[in-house]
Amino acid sequence: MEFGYFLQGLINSFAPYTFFMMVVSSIAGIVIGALPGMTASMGIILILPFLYYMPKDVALLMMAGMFCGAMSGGAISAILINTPGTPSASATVLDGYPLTQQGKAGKALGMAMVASFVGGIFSSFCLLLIAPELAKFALQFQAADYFSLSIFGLSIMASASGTSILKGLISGWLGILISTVGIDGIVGVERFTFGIAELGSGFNLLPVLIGVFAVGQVLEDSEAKKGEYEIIRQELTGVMPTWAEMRSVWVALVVGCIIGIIIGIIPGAGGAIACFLAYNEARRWSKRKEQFGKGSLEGVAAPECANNATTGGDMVPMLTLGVPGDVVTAVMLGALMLIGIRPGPLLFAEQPVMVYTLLAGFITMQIVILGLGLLSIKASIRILSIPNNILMPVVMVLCTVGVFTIGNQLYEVGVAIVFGVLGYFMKKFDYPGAPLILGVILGPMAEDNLNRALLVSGNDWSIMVQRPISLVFLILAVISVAVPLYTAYRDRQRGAAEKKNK
Amino acid sequence: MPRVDFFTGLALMALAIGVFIGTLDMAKVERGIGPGDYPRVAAWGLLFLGAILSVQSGIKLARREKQPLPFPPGAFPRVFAMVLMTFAYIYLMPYTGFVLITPVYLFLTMVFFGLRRYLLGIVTGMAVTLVLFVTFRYAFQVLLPIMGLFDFI
Repeated sequence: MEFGYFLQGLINSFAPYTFFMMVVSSIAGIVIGALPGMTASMGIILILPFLYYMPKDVALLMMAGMFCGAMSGGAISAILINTPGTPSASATVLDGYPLTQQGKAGKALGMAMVASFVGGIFSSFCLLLIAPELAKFALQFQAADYFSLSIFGLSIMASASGTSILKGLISGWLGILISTVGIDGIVGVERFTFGIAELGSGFNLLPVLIGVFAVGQVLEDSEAKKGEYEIIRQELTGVMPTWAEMRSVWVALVVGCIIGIIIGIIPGAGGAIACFLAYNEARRWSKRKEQFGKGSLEGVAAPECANNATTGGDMVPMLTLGVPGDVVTAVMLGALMLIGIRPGPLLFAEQPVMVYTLLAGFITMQIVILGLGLLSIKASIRILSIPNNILMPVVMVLCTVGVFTIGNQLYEVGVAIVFGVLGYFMKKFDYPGAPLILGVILGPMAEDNLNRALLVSGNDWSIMVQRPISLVFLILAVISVAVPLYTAYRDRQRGAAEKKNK
Repeated sequence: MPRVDFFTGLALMALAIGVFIGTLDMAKVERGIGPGDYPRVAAWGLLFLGAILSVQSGIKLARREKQPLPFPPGAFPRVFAMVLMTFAYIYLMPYTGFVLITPVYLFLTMVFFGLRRYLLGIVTGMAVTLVLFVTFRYAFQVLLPIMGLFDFI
């Protein structure tokens, strides 16, 4: 860690405009996280049009604010209406809602916010210590290594696939194919443009991103008329956890921190996995196991700490290698490229002040989110009262405006709607959207670096396994496809065996 | 959804073959990769994955395994109407301008989503439109489509 840059970054993050925008994005993140159906990735997509016109360090911090805010906000609806606001808050429901039913919603929300802060601050320091070192190492990469790295990144499709690995891979390959549309960068030949002039430069990433994630979601919500959520109305008092309560959850917090950061750094895994793992481990290590599921504060602290601890971990591979750790960082990677920031080791070498502003701001942000989170508890019932039938049309208009701002072309908005329809059907038939985006982002990187590696080696493919770094990435790629395949196979065998026994 | 998966697999294979044919007349290079090589790899991948999907779902179909389609009753017409409304919104925008068409679109879609407090819909629609227009026009210098009538703004 370069202390001078860190200090500079810290000062930058406290600059009035930067700090103000960080607060705004954190508030937006908490609200979006609290609303079921709105995710951190959707939040990042919705603020993208605004990010275009901001200094890059402010834009970076706003994205991080949205990410961390949404992670904390997810607990609000999980605790108050038994519906996780984001997938990462799925395990918070298990003990959060029973606490609400016992009239302790305020206490549960307070504990969730404090645990989120502990996880977030731990992951911020890990990010600060790990990312610069990894970036220094990554400066040694050559074309073959980058090709293998992108193959590794693409292989994450398998683990980011959700229920069906096959469908995840199909989605990813479709993304690669989409990335080949337009004039190729090697010879200058038009590929699959069908005479449409606008397709010459290929599909812009933003309409694809907005279409698949945001428009697809709005279309899914338009299937049926939506009512308002049922909220148990009660006085939200006794919000701040007492010292005795904090002492009773310290094991859960330690477990959450460790699991969260490890899961965060592993590409393909994210907050949704971390929260359940942390919940299970906290229960195993707890002296009050029997209270889990009935309204245990430990059961709220562990998953909330873990999902926030993944945020810093997720950012490590994304910032240093340009490979996203999960769906949110995949969207963030796309967003960064759109605003002209290319994550990777060179980013640390060429723009250290900007990177350290993010790293230092990440720490500041945790304190901001803790304060905002605690303040938002009183307003949480009001947040959940925002009706879906007003929210979704507004989201659609934001998407339209967002896409229009790329080049003042309504053509791009049309592309977003088309990809929205694709995203809707993908959602309905269990094809995950994240691999498609990974394919669109990493596809050109793989093609470009493969070409360069082969030019350097004189068409000798063995260069991919001769270089140790490249070989390691290829092995990791094989592992990252094989492990989920094996796990799926094992689960199926287990399921079949259980069926037989019954 | 084995039937849907089966036909999706076939469609993917057809797409892959189409891509493969489309790359045949692309230039070839002596060193490195040509413009057609990479899409061909993607096509092979899709062909392979599409075949697996078709075979897997074909087996399920043969076993008469059934899974209901994941659409609630009346979903298709509603989604289709939403897409149509949005396309109409985009199509009309150059003629009417952002400021005129957006509140109408917002109000209609809010009602479509089930809002019954019409006044709230109208006020929200107008407020959101104005905030977006002013923010983009004056803060970000992005000119959203406007009709002549609003040139004075």
